[in-house]
Amino acid sequence: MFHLRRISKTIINPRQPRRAVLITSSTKRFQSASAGKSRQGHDCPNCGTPLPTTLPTCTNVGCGYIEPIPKELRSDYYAIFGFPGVRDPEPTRNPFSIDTKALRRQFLDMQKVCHPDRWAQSGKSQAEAAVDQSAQINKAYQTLLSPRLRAEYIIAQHGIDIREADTLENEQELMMEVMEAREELENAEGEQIQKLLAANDERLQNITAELEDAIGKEDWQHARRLVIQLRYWESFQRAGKGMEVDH
Amino acid sequence: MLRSLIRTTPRLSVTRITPSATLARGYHEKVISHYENPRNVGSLPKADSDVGTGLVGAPACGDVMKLQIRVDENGIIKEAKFKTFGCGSAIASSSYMTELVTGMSLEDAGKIKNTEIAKELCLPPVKLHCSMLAEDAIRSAIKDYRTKRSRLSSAASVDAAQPTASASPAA
Repeated sequence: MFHLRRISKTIINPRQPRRAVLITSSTKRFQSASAGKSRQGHDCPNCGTPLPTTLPTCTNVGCGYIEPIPKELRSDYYAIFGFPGVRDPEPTRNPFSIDTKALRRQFLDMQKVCHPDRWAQSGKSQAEAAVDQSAQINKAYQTLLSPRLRAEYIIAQHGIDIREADTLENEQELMMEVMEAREELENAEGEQIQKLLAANDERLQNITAELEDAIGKEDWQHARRLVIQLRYWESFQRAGKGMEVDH
Repeated sequence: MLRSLIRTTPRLSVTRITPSATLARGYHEKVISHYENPRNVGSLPKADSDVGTGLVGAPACGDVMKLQIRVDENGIIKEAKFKTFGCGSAIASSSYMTELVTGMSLEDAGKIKNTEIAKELCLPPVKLHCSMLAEDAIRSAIKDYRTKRSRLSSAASVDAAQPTASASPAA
């Protein structure tokens, strides 16, 4: 629901030219590296006008071309947004380091062209394709936006999954640290909670920085350990935030 | 204690709906009973020679569980306590586990399978890992107790062999 509000804001905002994402210097490398890989730069197979985004969706008045996202693009959350695919061999690039502002702009542009409301009055297959596209890019966007989910997605692409029953080496040390921190939080009140949350936020940032480094070095096992640590400390953060709401 | 437990289970409490109303929608009444009225919450002195501590976590969801047992000289669990920061099912699983093992021998307690817990609490498949966590916790507590005992008994035999060694710690 919240996307709708954001999108309508973008639509009426004349200062934000469409395709702004393509001309910013910070995203230039994404665009050049993705040329020919996405539908951006492709022409509509129905009416021949250039497609505005990576989606197989035409916004030309009266055309009505829209199809489900092709399989190879669906599974590559990076390529969907016109970034180099996550499996593309490009040793100098760290897939964890993404320009989230460019990602957001690209996401909003795409939601604008495939928004189900826009296609609701079209044929059934078109309306369905729009719903599918919108849901898929939502999922891809949420995944790439969150540092932890992004890291999990990247390491999953390298065959590393984190399962329920997984345990860590040296887990006891971490478990003791987490348990002590949770007990301290449980007994905290007011300002103390704020302090503990601030300290934990810093901890999350430090782990995230280390994670970026590990992914850059393709040290997948270390990245996996750090992702698991993030899960415990995110759980801590949620608990603390819940306490703030309570009183 | 109950209040603090509820406060530390964000997935259930942040909705601002009373916990029981939230729970009633998705959880079996046995889970609710243990969640609203958890048995044996608390801690035992970790350093006591007759106490074993199990500390385990679920990396998939960030839950942590501590389960402690006090064992008598016949190897029977006299007392069990737990502390769990996690979802309702994890709290209920550990609460039920403490009830189950009290009065049991270490050997029997070590044989408890998570499926027993899951069955008793009617946990849905997606919550099976919570009962697994409770199984890991009791195993880990038993292991900790046994390690502690064997360390103590070997230390005792060393002391017996070299009575002067422990008599002059400042040296």
